[in-house]
Formats: sequence, structure tokens, C-alpha cells
Amino acid sequence: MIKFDKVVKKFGSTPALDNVDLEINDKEFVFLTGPTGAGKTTFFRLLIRDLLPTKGKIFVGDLDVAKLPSHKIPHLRKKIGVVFQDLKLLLDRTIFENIALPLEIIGKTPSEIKRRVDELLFLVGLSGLGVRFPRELSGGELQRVTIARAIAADPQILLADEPTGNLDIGTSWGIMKLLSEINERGTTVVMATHNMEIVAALKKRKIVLDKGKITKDEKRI
Amino acid sequence: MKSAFNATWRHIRRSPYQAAAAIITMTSTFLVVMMFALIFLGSTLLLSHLESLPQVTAFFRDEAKQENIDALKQQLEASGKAASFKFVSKDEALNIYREQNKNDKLLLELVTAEILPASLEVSALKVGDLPELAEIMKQSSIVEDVVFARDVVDKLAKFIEGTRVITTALAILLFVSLVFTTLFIISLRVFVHKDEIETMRLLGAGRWKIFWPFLLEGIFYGVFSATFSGIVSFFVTPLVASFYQDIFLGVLTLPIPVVVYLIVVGSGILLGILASFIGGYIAVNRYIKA
Repeated sequence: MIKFDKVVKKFGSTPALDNVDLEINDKEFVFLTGPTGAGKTTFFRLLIRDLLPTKGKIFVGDLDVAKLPSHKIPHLRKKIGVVFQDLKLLLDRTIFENIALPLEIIGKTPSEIKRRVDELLFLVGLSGLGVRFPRELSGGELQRVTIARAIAADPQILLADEPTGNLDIGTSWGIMKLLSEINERGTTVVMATHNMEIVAALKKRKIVLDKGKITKDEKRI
Repeated sequence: MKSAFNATWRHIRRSPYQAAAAIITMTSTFLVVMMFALIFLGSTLLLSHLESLPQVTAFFRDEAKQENIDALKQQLEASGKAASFKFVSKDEALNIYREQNKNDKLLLELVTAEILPASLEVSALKVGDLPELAEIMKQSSIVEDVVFARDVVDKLAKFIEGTRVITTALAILLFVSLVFTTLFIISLRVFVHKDEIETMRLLGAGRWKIFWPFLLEGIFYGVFSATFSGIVSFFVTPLVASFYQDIFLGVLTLPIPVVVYLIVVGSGILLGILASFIGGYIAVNRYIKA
């Protein structure tokens, strides 16, 4: 599903990712951990072609990400749902409209959008909050909104960049339960986190990045 | 496309003050441009009329025959610079003389048609061509004398030329200012929504999916401002024009025909759409590339 082949990404002379080799299989749940600046966000940005690698090859399914022509980038991004670290919710749109955004992009009809968004609001436990604006919701609720938006168009892969950052432990576990459910439904999930308690508790594959290099890749059952 | 219309409407509805500011700024610019367009149109007609007023007059010798006069007329026509001709026969000249001196019986008794010369009054397409026409007349053997006010004609020619240059320069300046105002307004609206553009881009929206709502918004402002300005100028222009009714008599039909307004408003709408399209495209493209 995802393959990094000797990928190097440098910002100036500083490597953000250094000779990264890895494969993530279909329907896997993977934790990406490591200190701040280890290269976790760069890893995600490379996957959605928000950045180009300095060296190496990246594959998502059969797509060679680095060689993808500009007009095919939307096609790649429709395969990948992203929970951004800074959420990237549109503050002048309601929760319903934010979740509907990927569905509008892929050209769903208003009735299909309504049905799907209601379904997602129920799934993330926010039924009835669709008419509210982001400023009216708590941090945990906003995280759920971004997860709902990320999976709205049924992507094959979900990238979650620190989805439990700044959340209390109870809310964090709620988010993890949701991500596990999404994974169980067949979506490949890659989650970047600092929260080692969660990583330890869930017996999933853990990849540790440090200064751009993979220092550990543990598959646990 | 429907979702683009919805997004456009949402942009306007969710930031009504910015939308109002955009509409007011664009309407003010359009209003100035449209009023100027109408003034420009009127002044062009007035200048053309003024140009046709000065005449050069050839007075013919008594022995001049009609065929000689016709030959001279053809020669002047062939120059391509004459606008109109008016032949005044000896009898017509006497009638004019009588009319002008009807209160002086002594003057009327002394003059007969025989002593008044027949004449040909010629007006030029361009006032600057009058001396050339006068020269052709002077060279004719049937012409006794050629009369035209050279100083007045020269000054008028300079005035008309100067006015044309100034109004054309102002028209270009206003047109450029309209395009830049539209570009600025649309760029500002795009800037306000730059986060939305970035998010849509990251969520997989194609270029045109992002473009359309902004282009439609710009087009809406352009169409609304041009139409509103057209309506305002439709009611304001006759009020202003009434002061100049006497000057424009025989030159321009007042009130200005509706079709002229429709042309001006139509051009304004097209200009608004074009400027909004270019402005929106440039501005959105900048953020997509970023």
C-alpha cells in the first residue's frame, strides 16, 4: 500500500528524512513515533505530495508519488484522508460544511452528502452538532470533526498527525477507539504521536523516527 | 457548478461587510467610468460637429459657368477631405443680402443680383484640412477670392486635437484603473480565503474546483456594479445634460437613447467579467502554487 524506497528529504542541508526504507501493508495500523523534529510530519507531507523527496521513491498503491504529474495530485489526495496537526478546519463553515468538503470535491450530490455527513457525525459522536461552527466546539470535538472529514470520502489510507495532542486522557482514548474502528473497517491508518502510553496499550506496529532515520520498527501482535 | 454557486453565495453571505465594501468600491469605479464614457461619447460628437462648422468659401468670377463650378466641386471631393458643399447662386446671395439688410432701404436699392458673386461653401472632415481645400480653390481660374478665418481655424484645430488627446488619455487611465481596482478587490477576497484554498488543495480539490467560487464571486461583483452604475447614470445623466441642451442641439439627441446606455452597461459588464476572471485567476493561482 505505502512504500518508501531510500527516501531522503532535506531542507537546505538539514535532512528531515534520511534514507528511509519502509513498507506499510493494506489495512495496517501503524504508529509513527519519535521526538519533535524527527520527521513524522515530513513523512506525511511527502505521502500527499505536499513536498517532493530530495532522493528516493515513494509509492502509494501503484502511484509513483514523486513522478506524479500535477493534474494527478488530486487523484492521489483523494486516496488519502489526513487529520492535520493544526486541524485545518474552515472557521467560517459549519461542522456539517467542513465534513462535507471532501464529498463536494469528489462531486457527490447534496442528498448523498447529507446522508454521508449525518452518518459520519453519528460515527464520531457529534450528532446534532452539524449546524455549529468550529469556535463553538471543544478540542476533542474538533479532533473528531477532522477525523470525520478525513474519512468522509472513504480513503484507502488515513494519516493522523498527533490527533490526541493537547487532549485529556479520556478524550484521547475516545479518539483512539474511533481510529481503531476506522482501521477495523478496512482503512490503513498511520498515526503520528508522542503519547507512548497509547502506543504501549494498543498492540500495533510501531515505527520510531529520530533525526530523520528509522531507529526501530516493531511489529507486535 | 452548483456547488461553486453555493460556495460563492456562502463567501458573500458569511462576510457581508467585505462583500459590501467590494461592491461599493467597484460600483464607485464603474460609475466614474460610465459617466466618463457618456461624457467622452458626447464630447466626441461635439468635437466632430465643431470640426464641421468652419467653412472655406470660394467666390466665383461672373464668367464662371455651372460646369466649371461642378468641375471644381469634383476636384474638392476627390481630395477626400471635404465633408459638405453648399452652392449659393447670385440670386440666393441677393436673397441673403436682402434678409441681412432688410432694415436699410438704401442698401437694398443699390444692390442687384448681378453685382453679387456666386459662391461655394465647403466644410472639411477635419478642421486642419481647410487650408488645403482653400489652396485648391485659389488655384482655380474661375475663383475670384477665397475666404476663411485662418487664425480661428488654427486655434480650433489645436483645441480639438488637444481635447482628443486628453480625453483619450483619461479614458485609458480610467480603464486601467477599473481593471486594477477589480484585480485588487478579487485578490483581497482570495487572500481572506487563503486557508480555505490551502485546505481544499490538500483535500484533493482540482484547480478549477478551487477557482470557480472566486471567479463567480468576482463576476457577481462585476455584473452587479456595472448594472447598478448603469441604472444610476441613466437617471443622473439627463439631469446633467439638461444644462447643456442648447450646446448639443443638433449634435446629440437628448435624453441619450436607452440603446446607448445598454451598450455602455453591456461593455461595463463584459469588462467586469473579464477583469474579475483575470484577477481571480491570478490571485487564486498564486495561492495554489504557494
